[in-house]
Amino acid sequence: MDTDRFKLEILPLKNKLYRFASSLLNDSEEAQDAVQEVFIKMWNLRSNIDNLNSPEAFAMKVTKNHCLDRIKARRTVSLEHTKSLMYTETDWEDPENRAETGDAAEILRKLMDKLPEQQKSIVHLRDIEGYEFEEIGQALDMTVNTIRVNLSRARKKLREMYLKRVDHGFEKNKIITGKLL
Amino acid sequence: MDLKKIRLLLENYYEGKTGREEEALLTRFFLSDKVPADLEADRLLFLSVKDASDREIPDKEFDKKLFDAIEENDRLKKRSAKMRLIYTISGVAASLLLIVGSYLLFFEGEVREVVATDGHYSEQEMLMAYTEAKNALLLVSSVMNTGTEQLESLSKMTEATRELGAIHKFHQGATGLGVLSKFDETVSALQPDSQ
Repeated sequence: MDTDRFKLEILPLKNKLYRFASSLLNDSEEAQDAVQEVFIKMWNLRSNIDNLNSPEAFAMKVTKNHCLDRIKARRTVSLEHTKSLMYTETDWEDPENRAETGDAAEILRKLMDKLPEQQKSIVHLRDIEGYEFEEIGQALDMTVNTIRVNLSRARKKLREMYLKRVDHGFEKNKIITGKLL
Repeated sequence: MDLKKIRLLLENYYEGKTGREEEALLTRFFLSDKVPADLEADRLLFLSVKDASDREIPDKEFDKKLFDAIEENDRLKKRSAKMRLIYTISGVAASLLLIVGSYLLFFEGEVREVVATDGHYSEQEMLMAYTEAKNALLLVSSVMNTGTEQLESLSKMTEATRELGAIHKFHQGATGLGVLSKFDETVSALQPDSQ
């Protein structure tokens, strides 16, 4: 695979890889760095890309593994660094406050962060990226059945979380209306 | 859109049993303004998923930065490959030089010694010389296997050959003694005269 084909076939995956990385890492800046590194890995493996069943599923797999490595590395960094990371993460915090800004993707990201890693990856690849179960299976090394079971659990949990938010919103509105009356 | 059908599809969706087309149908429904109030949580979920799937990498310079990084990656890889080749070639060359050197220093000397001294070395001395040579060659082969870092330990080889040098001196001494045989010949030649 030469530069032109790489630009034509692999580079267009950048937004998908970025969305997946930022869903796993919960940090936009770090997700961009991660995607760059994933592309460099793909570039170094470009002679083998043609032999792959689905280069896209492979890219997703590389992204997932790379992000999980980054998460592991985070746990071993110094306390000071951890603190600074926590500060930057406040960007994604507090969906209640963000609800007013109407940034639905931010709320979803925060809620998805409460899911186990496996479920988060599955729901991301299926609902956000629209992959077929077989492709998800290739990217995450899972059977279609496991994917279905976990996807169902993840969707139900997300629905529950949204239900709570809706109920909470109703309560809030009632109080406000009550005060006004 | 039939609301009954939507509710059924939604049920299947939460069981993980819908296909992509059915899911796209649900998304279209939730983006419309016909969503009943009891499906508000589901609407929020589908809207946020749609919103999240439209996100793009924020850095507009991403492609340029990526190809700069790829170029740098290739440059570093090329350089390290070149360095590896240089190390390998110099390692092999040094090892070959040492093998040839040790052959010239030791084997040639040994042949001369055996011929010239007519087997006057003791078995112990020969064994010692043989062991030294074997050690030197083993060291060279281990250096070839372990790479150039270990070449420093070849100073031991110099020590070994220095010891071999002593044997060479012994050989020179022994050759010097050869003159005495002429003395013998002269003496024996003189003997009939004296009789």
